[in-house]
Amino acid sequence: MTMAEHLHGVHRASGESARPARPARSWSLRFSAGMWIGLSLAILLLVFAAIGPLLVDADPEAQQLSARLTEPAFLDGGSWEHPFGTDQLGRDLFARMAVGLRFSLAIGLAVTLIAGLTGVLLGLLAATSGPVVDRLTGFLVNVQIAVPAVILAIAAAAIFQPGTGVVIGVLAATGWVSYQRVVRATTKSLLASPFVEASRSMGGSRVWIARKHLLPNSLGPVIVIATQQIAAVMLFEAALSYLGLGVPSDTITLGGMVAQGREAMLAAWWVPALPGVAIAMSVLSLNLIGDGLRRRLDPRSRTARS
Amino acid sequence: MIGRIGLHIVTLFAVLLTVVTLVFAMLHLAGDPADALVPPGSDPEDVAALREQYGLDESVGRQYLSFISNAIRGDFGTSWRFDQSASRVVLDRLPATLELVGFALLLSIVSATLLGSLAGARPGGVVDTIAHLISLAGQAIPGFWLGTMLILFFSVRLGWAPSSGREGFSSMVLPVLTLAAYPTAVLIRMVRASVEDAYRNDYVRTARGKGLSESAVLALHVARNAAIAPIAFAGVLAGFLLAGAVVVEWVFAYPGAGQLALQSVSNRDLPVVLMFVTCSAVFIVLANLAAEIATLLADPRLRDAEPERMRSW
Repeated sequence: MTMAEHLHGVHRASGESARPARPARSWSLRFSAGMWIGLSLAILLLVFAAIGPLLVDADPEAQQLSARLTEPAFLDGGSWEHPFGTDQLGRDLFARMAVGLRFSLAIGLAVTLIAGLTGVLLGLLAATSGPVVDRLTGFLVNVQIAVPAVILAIAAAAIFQPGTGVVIGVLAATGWVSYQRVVRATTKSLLASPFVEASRSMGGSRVWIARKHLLPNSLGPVIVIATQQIAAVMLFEAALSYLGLGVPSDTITLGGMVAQGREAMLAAWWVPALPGVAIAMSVLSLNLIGDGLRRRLDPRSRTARS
Repeated sequence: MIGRIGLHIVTLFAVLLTVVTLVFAMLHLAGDPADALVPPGSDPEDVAALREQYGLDESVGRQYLSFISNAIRGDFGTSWRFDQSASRVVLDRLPATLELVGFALLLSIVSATLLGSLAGARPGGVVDTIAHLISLAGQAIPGFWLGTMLILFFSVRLGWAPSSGREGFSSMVLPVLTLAAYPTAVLIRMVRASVEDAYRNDYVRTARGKGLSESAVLALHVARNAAIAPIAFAGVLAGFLLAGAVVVEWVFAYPGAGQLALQSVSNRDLPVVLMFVTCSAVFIVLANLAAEIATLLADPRLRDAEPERMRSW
């Protein structure tokens, strides 16, 4: 490793620069097409969420009992008036799914922001503030592991009034751990690295080192986790809405649509099926993007590529 | 090593105590716990009687102490719905859930180990591609949706397996498949990565150099070292599976503790919910302890390592 690399903060753990005996062909390397698939899917879904209801000129709440359980356009008997068909109350599934997806995305972003900030802060604290703080945050991690999101949501639903705030609170309270772990680990290894030592010996203060060296260098993994956490939160939100533990049932959610669609599933399979496809597509797209970002940001796979 | 396990056990109790404390705090944050503890529309006299019975007219500190001491004995009061102690109600339903979780754990470990190690042994091969696709799909598909689609196809269309209940082996098939999907997907990825890593070690080159066959290298050297990461992951897996079981039991109307908990939420049967939350915390904490001990047994390097190198437990 050259001095220039030290100064630019490029950090490699010992041994990683040695060529591996077998060529590293991780999935993310071979499937770099995955990144493009993920990005295109994401754009498609974002456009759908943004302007979906306008495309079909349908109110997602409007009931049209004369057009109950109409087939989607891609099946026999369907028409482009309702591209994804209608549910048992004659409501347009295309418009409802777009609105449900908006809600999912909003929850995903809000939770990721709150949990991300909390986790990064706790990770930095754990790594830099001595063994007592480290132990304490480690203990908090263990407490969180003992109460998974769905279980905490059950307790919250039994105790509090249902609402968006409770859902965000439950998912944020259970979502910060992965950030904390990663930031703590990268910070610890960065603190032991030569360029941080150089900065310290040149009189860099703790805040300076945290701002100039620790945060920028752990940003990569944090962005990767954040991308995939939006996906995980969307899955959890959908599950909570499906179980009736989430927001009140008059809010349109993808999970709630699957739950309501089950009543009609014998006559019209698409009513519960299509909202689930929207969830799966969103999660898949975000996971693919996360994998692609990991490849770009992880110095280990960068060496493997060269 | 014994000392380390002892430390874990102490931590384990502290974790459980904190969980119960948080539940107590949530109860008080939400307002008057007496209102939450009685079914809606109860007599004001009943509420007053309950307040006295649970000591809710006393100071918060005293209430906390008695809540903790009751919780340690597993006493969360009487279920409003079943007119039995809440712990009895939950414990009666727990075996069904553990059965579901156990089968799903077995299925996901076996299938992920097989697929993941075959994929990791030949990166870029056909099995690797298939494993990658399965892993991507399994992590993206919501469990409740997968369960619903399985019911639609296998129960409604083909009539192969019952769509609900818990009678005999056939009723377990679809719930176990649904529950195992996500953990299998995560594990495949993990096993594959650690097998690929293990192949890069010097001792693999040595083993090949001394003329061992590829299958012997895999069985004797690679598999043992690749198993460490998934074993350490088993504790987190237990949490996935328990939370997943709640969803799966709801989808398949499977009479386990998760279904009971969800019904109790809509019945506002708080004692049962509190008992369930505590039970699941105990289960997950024990699973983590077991995973930790297994990791120490599997990886001798960790036994003498600095605590710093340990995972969280």
